[in-house]
Amino acid sequence: MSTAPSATVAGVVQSVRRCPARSTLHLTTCRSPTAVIARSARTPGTNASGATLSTMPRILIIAYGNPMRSDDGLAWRAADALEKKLAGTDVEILRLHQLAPEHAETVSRSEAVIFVDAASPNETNGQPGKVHSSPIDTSAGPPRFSHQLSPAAVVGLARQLYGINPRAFTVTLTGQDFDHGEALSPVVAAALPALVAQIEELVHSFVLA
Amino acid sequence: MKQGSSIVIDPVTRIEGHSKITLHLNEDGRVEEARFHVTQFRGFEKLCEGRPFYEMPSLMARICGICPVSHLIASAKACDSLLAVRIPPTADKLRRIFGLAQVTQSHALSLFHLSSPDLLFGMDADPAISNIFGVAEKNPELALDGIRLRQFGQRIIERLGGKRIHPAWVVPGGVSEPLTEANRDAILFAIPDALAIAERTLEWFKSTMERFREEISTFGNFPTLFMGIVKKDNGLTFYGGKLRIVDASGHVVADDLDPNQYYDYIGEKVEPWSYLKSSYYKPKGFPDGVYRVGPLARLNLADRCGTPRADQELAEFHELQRTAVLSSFHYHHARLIEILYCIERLEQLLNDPEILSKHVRAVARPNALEGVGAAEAPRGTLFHHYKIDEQGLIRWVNLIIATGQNNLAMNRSVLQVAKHYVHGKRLTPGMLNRVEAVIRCYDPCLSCSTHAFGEMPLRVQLLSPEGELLDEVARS
Repeated sequence: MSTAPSATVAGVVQSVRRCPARSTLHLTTCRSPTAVIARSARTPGTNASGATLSTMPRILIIAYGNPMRSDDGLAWRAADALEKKLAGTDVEILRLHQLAPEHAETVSRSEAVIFVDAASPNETNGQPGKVHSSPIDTSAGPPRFSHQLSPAAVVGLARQLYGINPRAFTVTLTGQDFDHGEALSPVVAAALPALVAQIEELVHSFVLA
Repeated sequence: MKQGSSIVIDPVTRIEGHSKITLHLNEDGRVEEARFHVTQFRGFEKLCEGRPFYEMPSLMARICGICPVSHLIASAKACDSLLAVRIPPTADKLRRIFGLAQVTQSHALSLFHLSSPDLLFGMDADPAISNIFGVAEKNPELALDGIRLRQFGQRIIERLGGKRIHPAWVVPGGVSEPLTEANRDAILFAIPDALAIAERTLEWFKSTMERFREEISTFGNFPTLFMGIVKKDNGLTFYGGKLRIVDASGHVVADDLDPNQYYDYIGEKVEPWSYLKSSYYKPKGFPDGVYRVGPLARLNLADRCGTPRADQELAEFHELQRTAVLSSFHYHHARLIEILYCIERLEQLLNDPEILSKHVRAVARPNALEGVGAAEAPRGTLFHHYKIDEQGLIRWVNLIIATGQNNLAMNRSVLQVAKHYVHGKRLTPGMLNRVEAVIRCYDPCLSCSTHAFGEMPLRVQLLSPEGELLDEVARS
């Protein structure tokens, strides 16, 4: 679930960190807005003049939510833990406020993508702290509103526009408190290791596949 | 539909921010009055009081997630005034690059994500397909181009500022880091693709215009003034210059005005039914001083763009009417020309021999207690006006946002469209979509635009579940 500042179409806050062992650069995160680090160019991509496109890693983890709305920021916390555990692997981690059509292009460049988010207690019968994982089903078709895209909508758009159908999963942790704040509720904080473990398990299953 | 009643469109879709439209019908089911209500309140003018002035660019950037760079630039310019510095030439160019990238991605969002469904499917299309997904289904190339063009602009912002949204790179006195050679080369590398997208989208748009003759004649097609910042030679610009005003005939009403003295020319009025203030040209009073800002205004004001392809398109645009181009439908066309200009201008600036200079910031203490910064945001002229105390703490802020300056025109546009298309005895989604679509022409940024001027009028009503008024508190 995302409780980003509401707008019919809002901007997204994006922060990228490569797993440190493979890093050649970092971009600033929301937590250090004053740090600006130059970005080195990647291998040139294909443009109208004919060079080759840069490539994304094999596995992409998209952690999205609002870290200033308490449990809605749990995916970002999971991303922090995963960076340490997945260092040296072919995994890229993105932190976003919400999903936008542009992320279809990002998704299209990976073989597998895992979306990580907080779930509302209403969606999971009121069980804060519950971890749930499921493959993404794009058969429902596109949403009527582009205000907040679902993972299925992003993956569906990637398939539609780029002809790419990556293996895609959502992993959610049911939150309890979505009020203003930067701390996780105790029940969510206690369940965070289980969320991270579930994501690690998925990553390893992709690697072995 | 009961005659002598109202139609409420809530929410207005495919725009940035929250709003509703009310249409008041007479007993014959004809629209007599229409209002565009902005239903969200931000209050940045008040909440930053007491903050150190050097925080303002970063604070002000958080007004918006789509056009934060415009607020960064206008705010930093206001802070430059407080410091009484002239920023290094390279910093000036880098800020311009930043702004051009943002205009590109913001205009791309407006056209491709928000308005292209109407242009592709028509105004009467099923709402279920009138969205980015429907566009992707019917015209994948158009959807792909929109994503790529938006990413082009966002990636430039990311390379310069470190992140796509709310980058903190623009600071009082200049920018915080120089441009690296690698980043410059990477951006230049992406320009041919972006230019190609801009060109073919412009051609596609022009090919669709014949289908919208009726909309062109009824979507905000009335005389107003047009205001904006242009260069000294009346060239198109987004960073800074002189304030210029033309009337509906294209005649110059005022020229060589100092944007920093905006308060001599621009008044603001608060209406009780909206959190969005209405700006007007003071010499003509309210509401006769209605004016428009943004792409349509800028192209009516500019004699040239200063880049080859954009200049060709501008000449063609000026041929649309012998007078100023009046119909707000042409905002879309103007937006596309501006995208073309931005990309061409980006290439010029990036090839400047001094663009990699390390000297990108002037350093000083506050030397003035009042400063104004003005720039052209994607949606129009933006003013940031600050007053500080001797300790450099903010004591007073006034923000005049582009969308607010279009408020009067937007309301008139809604009324014009509603009177022409809406009949209370027979409502269709297409009628109501056209009422929304005219608002989309202006590409309003409502989250940006609602701030306090003095004390906001406020009325709180307590209603029972049945809608009965239980209590009411009002502040005038």
